[in-house]
Amino acid sequence: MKEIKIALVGNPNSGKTTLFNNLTGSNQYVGNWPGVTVERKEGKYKKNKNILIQDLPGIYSLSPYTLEEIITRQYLLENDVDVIVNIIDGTNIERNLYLTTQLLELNIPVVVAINMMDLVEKNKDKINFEKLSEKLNCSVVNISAINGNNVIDVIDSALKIAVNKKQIYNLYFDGEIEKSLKLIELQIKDTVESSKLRWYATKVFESDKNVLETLKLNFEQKELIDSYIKKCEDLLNDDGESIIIGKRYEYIENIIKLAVKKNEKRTTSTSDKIDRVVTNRLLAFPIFIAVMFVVYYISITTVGDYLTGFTNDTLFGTWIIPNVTLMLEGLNIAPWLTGLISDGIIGGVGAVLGFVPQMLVLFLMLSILEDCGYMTRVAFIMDRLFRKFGLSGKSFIPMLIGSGCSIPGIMASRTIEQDRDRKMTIMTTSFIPCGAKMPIIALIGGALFSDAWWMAPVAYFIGVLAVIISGIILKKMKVFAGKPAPFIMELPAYHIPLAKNILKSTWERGFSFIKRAGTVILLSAVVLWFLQSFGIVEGSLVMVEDNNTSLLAIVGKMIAPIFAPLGFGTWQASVGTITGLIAKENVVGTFGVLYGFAEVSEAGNEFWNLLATDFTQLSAFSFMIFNLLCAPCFAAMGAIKREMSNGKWTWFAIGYMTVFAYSSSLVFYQLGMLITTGVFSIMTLIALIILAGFIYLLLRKNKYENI
Amino acid sequence: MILYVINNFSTISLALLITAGLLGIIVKMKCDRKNGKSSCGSSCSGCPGAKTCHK
Repeated sequence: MKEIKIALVGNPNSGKTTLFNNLTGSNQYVGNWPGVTVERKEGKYKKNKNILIQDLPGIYSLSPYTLEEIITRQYLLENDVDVIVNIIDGTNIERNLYLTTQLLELNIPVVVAINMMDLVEKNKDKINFEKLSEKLNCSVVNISAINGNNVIDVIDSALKIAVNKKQIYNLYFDGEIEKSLKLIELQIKDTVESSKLRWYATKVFESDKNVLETLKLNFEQKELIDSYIKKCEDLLNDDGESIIIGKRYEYIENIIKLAVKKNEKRTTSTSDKIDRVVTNRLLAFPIFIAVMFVVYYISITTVGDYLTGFTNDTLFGTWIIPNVTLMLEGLNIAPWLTGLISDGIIGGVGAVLGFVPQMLVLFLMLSILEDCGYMTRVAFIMDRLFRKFGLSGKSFIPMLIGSGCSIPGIMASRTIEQDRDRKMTIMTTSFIPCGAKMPIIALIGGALFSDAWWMAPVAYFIGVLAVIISGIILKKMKVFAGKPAPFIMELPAYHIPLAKNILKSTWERGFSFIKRAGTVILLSAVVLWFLQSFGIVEGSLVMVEDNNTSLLAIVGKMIAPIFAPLGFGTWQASVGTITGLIAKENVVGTFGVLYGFAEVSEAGNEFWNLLATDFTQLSAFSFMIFNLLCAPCFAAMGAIKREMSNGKWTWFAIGYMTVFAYSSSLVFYQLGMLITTGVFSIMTLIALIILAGFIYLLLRKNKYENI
Repeated sequence: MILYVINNFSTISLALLITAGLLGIIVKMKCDRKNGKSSCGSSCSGCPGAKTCHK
C-alpha cells in the first residue's frame, strides 16, 4: 500500500492534538489554550503504518497573519497531502466553517470531522450531517476526540476519498466576483499548479501579499488584475478581501440554516456562569491572585512540605545516608571516596531530589488549572493588564507555559506576530519562576522563614511584577515602541480535568527534573565536591579539612565581592549563584555539597540551620530575588538564542535580565538594611539612585506612544 | 603494588565503578546534545518548539 498523508487542520483549540494522539498513540501535549501546537508534528496511524498523520498548528484562516497560519498554509501548498481532515468544534460550527471554505478551494480531498459532539448533545443542538456533507460536498464525520468516539471513522472516510485526489468545490460567488476570479485565473494559470488555481485566484483577489510575491507577475499582468479587482470593488463598494470574507459568511449562513438547529431554549451554560465571576472586571484579579496563592501554598507548604519532609528526613535521613555510610565503612572504603559518595553525590543530588515531591504537587496543580480551562481565562484577564503597558495577553501564554520550564515558554513566544512584542516576551518569560526555581524558594523559605506559607506565591508575583515593570520600561524605548497586537482567543468551555492529561503532564515535567538530577546535577556535584575538598597547602594539592581553604573557596572569594552589596557576599552563595546557570536547581545541589547535606541531615533541617548561619532573612530574600530574575540556565539561554536568531539580541536579553535582577536585589537589600538597621552607606546611596532611575523609567513620558 | 591493590581492592573497584558511571553520564549527555536534546526541564511532547531541537 502506498503511503497516505493526512493533514489535521482546524481552528485553535478544536481538538486536533487530541485526535492526533488518539490516532497515532502518541503523547503530544494537549493544552487547553490556543497556540499549543506551534509547529507541525508527525505520526503514523497506530493501526496502519502506511498512513502518515500531520498535526498542524491551529488556524482561523489561510491568510498569513500569524506564524501558525504561515506554517499550515505552506505545508498544505507545498506538500503532496492526500487528504485534509478538517476538525471543527461542533459547538462553534459557524466560525469553524470559514476555514473549511478555504480548505475546500485547495482541491485536496477534505473530510470534515465535527468534534466535541458530546458537548453538542449536552447543549441539545442538532446537526444534520447528511445535509452538511451534501452542501460542502465532502464527507462529514461526527467525533468526540476526547472520548475517542468515532475517531476510526475519520480514517476510514479519509482512505475512501484519498484515491480520488480531487475535491469538487461548490462555493461560487456572485456574478461579478466570479467573473473577476475567472479573469485572474487566466492571468496566473501558467504560474501555478492547475489544481490550486481557484485558491490562488481568490488570494490574488484578496491582494494577499505573500501570494502576489510568489507569483512574480509582470507589470502588464498586475495592471490587468488590478483593473479586474478595482471594477468589482467599485461595483460592490468594498475592498477585495472584505468582499470575499462577506461572501464566505453568506455561504456559511445558508448552510447553517439548513443543517444546524441550535437549542433556542438553552440557558446560560455553566462555563458562562463561571466566567461571569472569574473574568469579572473587579473580581478577576483578586481571584487569580487567590488561586495562585492556594496553588503555591498547597504545593510548597502543606502536601508538598509533608512529602518533602518525608523524602529528606526518612528517605535520605534515615534510610539512604546512614545505610550507605555503614556499608562504605563495612567495605573499608577510603575516606576520600566515602566523602565523594556521601557528601558529594548523595549530598548534591539528595538536596535537589528532596524537593521533587513539592515540585510534583506544584506541576499537578498547574496541570489541573490548565486542563480545566482556567489558565486560558488568565491569559484573557492578563490581556487587560498587559495592554496598559504595551503587551498583549498573547505574551502571557508563554509565561504560563514557562511556569513549568522557561524553554518551552520562550519557544511559545513565536506565536506572537509582532517582532518587538515577541522579543520583549522572550526577555521577560523567564522572570516567571520555573519549576527548577521552586527548590530555591522552598529552601530559603524553609531555612530562614520557618516554612512561611507566603514565600512561594510571593516569589511568583515578584516574577509577574518584574514582567510588568519591564514591559513599562521597555515599551518606552524606540525599538519596542508600538501598539500591541489585538489578542483574539476563544475561551473553551470548562471541563473536569482528565486524569490522563494531568498525570501525564505532571509526570513528564517531574521526570525531566529527576533525570536532570541524575545527570547534570550529579556531575556538577562531583566536580564541586572535588573543588571544595582539595586545596593548595604549601605548594601542593592536598585534601583539606576546612572547605574555606579549598580551591572552590579561592574562586568563590574572587566572585563574592560582586554579590556583597546584595547581601550575600559569602563564597558559598556566590558559587551557588554561578552554578545555578547550569540548572537553577543546582543552587540547592551546590548548597547540599557545600553545607554538608549528607553529614548532618539526620533531619534535613540541620543542613538548613547551617545555611541559615550565612544569611539573614533580608539577605536570603535578596538572594532569592536575584536568582529568580537573573539570567536563566544555559539551556534556556540557548532557547533565547534560537528564538532571537541574533547574537546581539541574545546578549541584550541576558544582560537586561541580569542587570534588572542585580538592581532589584540591590535596592531591596540596601533599603531593607536602611529600614531595619538605620545604617546609611555609599551602597545605600547607589541603591537610592537606582531606585530613582527605576521610578524615572516607569513614569517618564512615552515619546513613541503613537508609533 | 599487588599488596596495595589487594588492601584497597574495594576502594579501587568502587572508584572504577563510579568513574564508569560518570563517564556513562557524560557520553549520554553528549549523545543527547548531538540529538538536540538539551538539559531542558520539559519533555519534548510538552514543548511547542520540539522540532527546533530535533533537526
